[in-house]
Amino acid sequence: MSDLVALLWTATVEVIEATVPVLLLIAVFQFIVLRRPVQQPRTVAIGIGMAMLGFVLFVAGAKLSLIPMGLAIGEALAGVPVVAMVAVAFVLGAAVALAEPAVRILAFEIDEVSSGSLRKRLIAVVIALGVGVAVVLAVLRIVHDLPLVAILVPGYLLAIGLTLATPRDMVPAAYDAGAVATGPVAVNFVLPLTTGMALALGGDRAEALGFGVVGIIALGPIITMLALSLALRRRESDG
Amino acid sequence: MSFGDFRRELFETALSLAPALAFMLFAQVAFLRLPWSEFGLVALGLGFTVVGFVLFIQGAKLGLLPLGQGIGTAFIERRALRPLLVFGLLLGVVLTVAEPDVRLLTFQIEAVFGDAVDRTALIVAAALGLGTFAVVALLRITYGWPIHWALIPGYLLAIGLALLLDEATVTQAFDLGAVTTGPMTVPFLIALGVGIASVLGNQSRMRAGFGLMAIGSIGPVLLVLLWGLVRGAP
Repeated sequence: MSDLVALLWTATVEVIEATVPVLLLIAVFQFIVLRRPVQQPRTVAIGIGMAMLGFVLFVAGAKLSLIPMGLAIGEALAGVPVVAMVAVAFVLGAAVALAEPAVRILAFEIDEVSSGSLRKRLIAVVIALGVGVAVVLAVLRIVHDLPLVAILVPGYLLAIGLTLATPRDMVPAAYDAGAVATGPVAVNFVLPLTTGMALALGGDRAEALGFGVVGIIALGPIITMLALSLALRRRESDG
Repeated sequence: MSFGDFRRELFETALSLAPALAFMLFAQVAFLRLPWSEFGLVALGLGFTVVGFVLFIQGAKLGLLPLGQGIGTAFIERRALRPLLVFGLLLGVVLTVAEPDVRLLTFQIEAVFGDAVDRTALIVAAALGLGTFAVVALLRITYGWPIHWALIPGYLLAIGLALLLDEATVTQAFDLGAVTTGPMTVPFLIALGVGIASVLGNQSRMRAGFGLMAIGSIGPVLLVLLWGLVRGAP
């Protein structure tokens, strides 16, 4: 019980440290640079209070549940055959992408802005596919003890090649897809899982091997989204 | 915001976490077999996470976003480009420091590497990276530059530096670059970008409205890599 109190207290201190600079910056620009009054100050104050309380619960909750569970499951997975690891990694990656709140928001916005020519379900599935493959690559990197650049260098060169070949309009949204796929679930569940797996498998570089998965996840959807836009254009020019 | 909004958001968050929750429960029953008292603590933590996330998002929508949007619009209406850029720089810095994902990632890095990493230095490098690249992204939207002018040299430089540096620095740089665009930063940057693009109104919305996050996530990668280069091998 006292552990729980200590955890909540640490989280509270951290959240105050984190949010006070944002509030100060906004206050300086609001009142000194732009000299505008705040509209609906009460609602704004309540919102800030809610956000801070939520932040405390979120940080404490992740340390209590998602992170230790991820570590434990990763350790257990280290004992299974590589084929099973790869299958679990793909399913987990795809599920995590669908779970990220920001992925839903981005898919919705792309649907809107493209006037429905890119359906949000299609976008979500393409992003999930990219994240699934990314987590598989991260697991294979741990199993075969590969440096991160062995995945990132060919990956980004492929992404750059696709960027040059693809219709300009799709490029910003494709890169944003990479940025939104790496949200709270990826950081607090997938990363501990790969870390647990790497530590259980051992080796000289076990600490560093589990990390990097988030960076790989950011790359996956960029490539699948660019590939989608290239495929759609090809179909248009054929038809 | 009404209570209905709150309930819907709570439901959607729980639903979106459902695959992860099911996976955990399956692991617990099938092979993990923690004592149920311990698993109870985990369940409590999951409850905290879901409720905390919903409170955070709703609170940000209610309190922080209107503030950010109001400031963004005021800059554009007054044609104050330079103050806007200063604001973008500082906002990038403080948002990185405030980002929950950045806190939790650096917490995990510290837990595994111990004293071999300097958590504060990592956060500061990532913050400066997001700040400077937020300025680049704002300039891009204002002048309508194509996005790959920033993305292609940025990523080429990043992979070039990655080939020179040690594994720990490379993993930290790319992980941090990916997480700076978390639940705090994304809504703020989207609000700012879409707001500016709508006032300028002379370009394709598909091109102008998106991409702020994409450019924003290279900055921390580059700055953490550069910091690693300056610091030298550990």
